[in-house]
Amino acid sequence: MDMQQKSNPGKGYYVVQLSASGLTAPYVGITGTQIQVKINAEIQVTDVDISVSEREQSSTPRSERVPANGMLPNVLKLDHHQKLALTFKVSQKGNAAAIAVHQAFVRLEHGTSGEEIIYMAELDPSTKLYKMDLDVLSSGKNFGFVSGEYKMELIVGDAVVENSLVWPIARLNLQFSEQGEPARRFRDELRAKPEIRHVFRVPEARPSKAVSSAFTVLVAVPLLVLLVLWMKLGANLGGFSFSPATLGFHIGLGAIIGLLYCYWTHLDMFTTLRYLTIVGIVTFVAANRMLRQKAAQRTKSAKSD
Amino acid sequence: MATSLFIALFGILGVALAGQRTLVLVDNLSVRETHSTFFRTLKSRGLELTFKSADDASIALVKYGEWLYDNLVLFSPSVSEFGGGINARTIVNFIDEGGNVLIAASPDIGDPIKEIASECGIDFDEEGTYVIDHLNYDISDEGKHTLLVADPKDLLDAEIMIGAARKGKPILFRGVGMVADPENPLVLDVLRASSTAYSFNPDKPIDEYPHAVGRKTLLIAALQARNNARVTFVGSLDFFSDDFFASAVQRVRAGLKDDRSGNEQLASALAQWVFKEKGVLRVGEVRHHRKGEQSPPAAYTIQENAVFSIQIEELKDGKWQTFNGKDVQLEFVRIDPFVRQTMTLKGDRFVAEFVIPDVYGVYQFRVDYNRVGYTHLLSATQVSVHPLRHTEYERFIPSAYPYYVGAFSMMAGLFLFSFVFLHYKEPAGKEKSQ
Repeated sequence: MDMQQKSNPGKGYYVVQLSASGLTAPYVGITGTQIQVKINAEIQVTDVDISVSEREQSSTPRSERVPANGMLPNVLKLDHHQKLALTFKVSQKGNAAAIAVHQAFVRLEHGTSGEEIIYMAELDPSTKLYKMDLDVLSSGKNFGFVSGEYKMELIVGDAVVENSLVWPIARLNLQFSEQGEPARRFRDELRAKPEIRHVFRVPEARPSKAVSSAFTVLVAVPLLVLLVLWMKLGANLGGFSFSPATLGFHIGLGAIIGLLYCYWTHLDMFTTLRYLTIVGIVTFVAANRMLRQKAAQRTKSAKSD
Repeated sequence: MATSLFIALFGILGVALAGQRTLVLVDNLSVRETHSTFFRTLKSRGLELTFKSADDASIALVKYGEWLYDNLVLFSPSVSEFGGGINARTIVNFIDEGGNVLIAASPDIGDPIKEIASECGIDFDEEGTYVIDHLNYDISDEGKHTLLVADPKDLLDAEIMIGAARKGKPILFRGVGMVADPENPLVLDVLRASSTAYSFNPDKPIDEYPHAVGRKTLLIAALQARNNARVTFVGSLDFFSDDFFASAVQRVRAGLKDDRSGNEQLASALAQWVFKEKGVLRVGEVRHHRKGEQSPPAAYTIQENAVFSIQIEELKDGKWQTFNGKDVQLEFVRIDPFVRQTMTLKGDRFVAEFVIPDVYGVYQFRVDYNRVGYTHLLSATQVSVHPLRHTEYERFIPSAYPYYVGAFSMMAGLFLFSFVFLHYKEPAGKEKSQ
C-alpha cells in the first residue's frame, strides 16, 4: 500500500498509527497499531569559515571560506600567540535553514605520527552556526605539545542523516611553546633490547721487545765491568783452602741463590721457607767454622812474624 | 656450590589441561541458547562449563580455601548485585590469584561490571550509551547507527592473541565503549573503533564531550596482570551471539558484502588466549658453567668463558613443546646489565656464550622475556665473579726482563764477591817492602 506524502515531514523519528476498518468478513479490522518510522534526510555543510587571529586581538578578524568539497589551498601557520576560529552551517539539502545534528566534530590528525585530537563543535544559539575555537597556547597539552603539520577534518553525522560525512578542510602547522615527544605506548617497547658487549679495559702499553732487550743487556753490563775491574786491580783467590767449612759455606750460599731462583719459577713461600731454614742453618754453621779457621790462621801468621 | 637464587614467575593456579573448570554467569539462562555456538566451541576445546544465573545464591568461587574454578565468563552485564558470596571484590581477588576472566558488557551495564573494569584500568561509559559511528554501520542497523562494522585493520597486531583475524572478515559490534589510560602498561587495545566513532546515548543530543571519541574508543580490551592472569573485556554481548556469528556483513556505502562476519574467528581466538591455551610459556631447566665443564663452579673469575642455557617451553595444543622464540635475550647484570645477548636455540634449550667482564662482583644471569600476548618470564640466577688471584696474573713478561736480569746479576755478583772478599791474599812482595 503506497503512502502518498501530502505533507513533507522533516527528518526524525515518528510513530505511525495505522487503522484498518470497514472490512468484509472474515477480515477483522484493527485500530491504533503503532509502528516506529524514521525519516532520513540529506544534509549539506556550507559556509565553512576559518579565521586566524592574535590572542590579544579582540576585533573580529578576517576569515577564509573553505571551497565546497575542497580544502584551503594554503597551510595555516599558528603558534602560541595565535588562535583559530572555525564556523560552519549544517542544513538540509534544498533548505537553507540551519539545523542541529548529533555529531559535529573537528578532527585533527598529525602528519607523521597519525595521532588524532578531536574537538566538539558547539552550536551557537544565536547564529545557529556550529563554532569551534582553538587557542594554541592553552590547548598544548591536548596535543602533547607535538608541533607539526596537522590535517583538519569535519565529521558531521546523525542517525537520521543519509550522507554523514568526513570533510578535510585545511592543513594547519601548529607550533607549541614547549616541544613534546610523540606518545609512546608501553607495548611498543616490548621487544628485544639492543645488545651490549662489554668493553674490556685496554691493557697498558708496553715497550717493544727491542727496547726491553736493549735494557736487559744494559743491566747485565755492570757485572762484566765488575769482573774486568777486579782483574785490573789484581784480585786473587790466594787464601782459598779446600776445607769442608769453606766449601760448605760457598755451596750453601750458592744453594740459597738457587733456591731463590726456584722460588721465583715454581715454588711457593712455605716450601721455600722450609728449604731455606735447612740450607740457612748449614750455611751459617759452615760460615762460622770457616771464619774461625781464618781467624786462627791470621793469629798464627801474625805470631810467626 | 654457587648460591643461586631462582626466581621464576609463572603464576598459573592448577593448570588442569584436561577439563579446565569454567563458571559462566549470565543474566538469564536464555543466553545459553542465543550464544550456543560460542559455548559449543569452548566445550569442544575441553573446557568444563557451569552455567549459573548471575544472581543465583548458590554461586561460590571458593570452597574450603580452594578455588572451584580456573576461569570465569561474565556474560551478565546488567547484573546489579551478584548472588552467592561473590561481588566485584571477590572477582578481583580471583584475578589476583591467577584466575582468567572473560567479560562481555552491553549498554545496560551495571555497577559490578563497571567496578571490576575500573580495577583493571578500564573505564566503561554510562548505562544507556552505545558506540555510535555514522559512517561505519551495517546496512541491517536498526536506525540509530549503533550496529558497527569494525575493520580488521583496527585490531592489535598480535597473532598470538587474535589468530588470523587481522586478515579476516569485518567484525560486527553493538555495545558500550571503553577507554583505558594509554600510560597503563598492562592494558592492550585489542580492537579500537574508527576515527569517526564516539560513545554517547543515541537518544540524547550531545551537550558535553563524549566519554570516548574516535580511535581512543576501545571495543575490545585485554589485560595480562603481573601474575600472568588474563582478563578480556568486550563491550558487546551481542558480539558473541549466534546471530552475529552467522550474519552477513555489509558496511553502508562501501558496497562489499561478506557472507559471514569475522566474529566467530575473533571470539574463538580471544577465548583461546584468555583461557591460557595459547601464549603460555614456562621455564624449564637453567644451567650455567664454564666453557668445557659440565657443572657450575663455586664462583667465576673475571675474563673466563661462561656458557648459559635455559629451557623454555610453550603450551601448544595442550602439550608443552620447545618455544621457538627468535628474540630471547640473556642479560648478565650487576645492577646494570654488562652483557646482553640474543640466545640461540640449540636442540631444546636456548644457549648463550660470552666472556665474563673484567669487573668483579655479584652478578645475575637474567632472562626477562616480556612480549605482547605471552606470559611474562623472569628467571634470575645469582653468581659471584671473583677478581684474579695473586697466582693468576701474567708472569715472565718480556718488558720485565731488565728487572729479572738486574736481580739475578746482583745475586751473581754477591756470590762472586764472597769468594774474592774472603779469600783475597795480599801479594807477599808488597808486605815485605813495607
